[in-house]
Amino acid sequence: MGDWAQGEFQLAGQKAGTDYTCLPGLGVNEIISTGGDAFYFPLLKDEEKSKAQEVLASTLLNPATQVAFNLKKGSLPVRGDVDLAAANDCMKKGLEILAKGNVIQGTDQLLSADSQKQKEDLFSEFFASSMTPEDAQKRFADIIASAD
Amino acid sequence: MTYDGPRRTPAGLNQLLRNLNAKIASIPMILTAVVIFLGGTLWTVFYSFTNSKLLPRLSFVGLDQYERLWAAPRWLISIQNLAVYGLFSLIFSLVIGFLLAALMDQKIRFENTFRTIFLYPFALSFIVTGLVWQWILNPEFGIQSVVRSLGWSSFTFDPLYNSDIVIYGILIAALWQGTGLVMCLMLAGLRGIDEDIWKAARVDGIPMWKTYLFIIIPMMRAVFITTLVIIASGIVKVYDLVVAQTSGGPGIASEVPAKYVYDYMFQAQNLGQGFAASTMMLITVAIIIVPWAYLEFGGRKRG
Repeated sequence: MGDWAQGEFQLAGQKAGTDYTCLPGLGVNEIISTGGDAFYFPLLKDEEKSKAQEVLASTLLNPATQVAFNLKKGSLPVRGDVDLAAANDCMKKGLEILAKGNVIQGTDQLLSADSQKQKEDLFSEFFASSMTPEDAQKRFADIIASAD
Repeated sequence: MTYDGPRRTPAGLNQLLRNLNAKIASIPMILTAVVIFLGGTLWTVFYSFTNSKLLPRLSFVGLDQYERLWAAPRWLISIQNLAVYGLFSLIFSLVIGFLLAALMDQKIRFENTFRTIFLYPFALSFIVTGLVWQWILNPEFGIQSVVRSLGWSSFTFDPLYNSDIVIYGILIAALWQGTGLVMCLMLAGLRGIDEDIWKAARVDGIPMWKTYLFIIIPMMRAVFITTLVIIASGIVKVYDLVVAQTSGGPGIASEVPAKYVYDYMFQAQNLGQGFAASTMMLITVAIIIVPWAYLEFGGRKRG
């Protein structure tokens, strides 16, 4: 499930570590696939507006903002130096893995939209048909082999 | 042939100047046809030999896109589905449409009311039709649950959730939507048949079904051809009905070529692959249309 699931649990008044917990890599391989949004600020002539851009950027990346936002959403802060007192169980686990560097890039970054689409087609075919896992594995390998 | 040689030039010029206003007025339409339809088609075919991704680019890869296309299981399923859907929707909409029109032509009461009812589905878009039939065929809300609540508790009718028959679920919706129009076209054709032919057939003692089959239908050839072209073009471009009913599911069991083209052009951002698929669609249509057009128009000139 996506990070939004944690946000839903939050909203339902559940507490990370006691009511539910996170098992990165199902608890076996503690590796996280990361991905995120990017903000681009255009270069402006107006001094005032440039300053406003800076205020927005520094607010976004402020450790306090990061923790508050990611607790609500259920994802991880983009920086490691946040106040751990405010962080919940899941976030602590995640930050630890990030600090160890056990990260692989998200498939959105690794594969082109074309390969992604072929992969999705394979998945939807596999889950709705009687295709054997071996066949699916072979075709998955083919897609990755010809990916660009 | 040689004797009218000297007269040829003025006659040709006269030909050109005749109905000059009409010719000038039709220039925009001619330009549209040539530039947009013909030009766009050639452009698409041309770029299907490149490895264009999000934007078209001129780097040729020969037939690579076509090889990949014909190796893709999703494309093969799409073609299969189109063949099944096309064949059945052609046969059934013509047969049902003609039968309805023939029944309607028996000077029945409330003909206008029936005509309105049968034609009404045609006023709905494929998206609405698809959504309605998705609900009707849904096993939890639709036909299955109604029949089960009447007592047949093991009754199963869920075409949209069974990979083997999902395309027939789509076919039902398409027929419901399309036969009304076919009926109207056929009815117009039947009304165009002279009353005297019916009287003559009756005098000769020919049974009604024979009159229809051997006299009326051959006389309605033009109507049948118009209807055929309308139905066939609807079949090849079927897309929104599938999107609304199953969005290609379960799995990829109800995918159609037009959806493959759209998905690979805009979701997978692979224009080359989408162009190759749409070129294959064009070739499929051409294989059917060209021999027919040759027989239809080439033959008439000779005869």
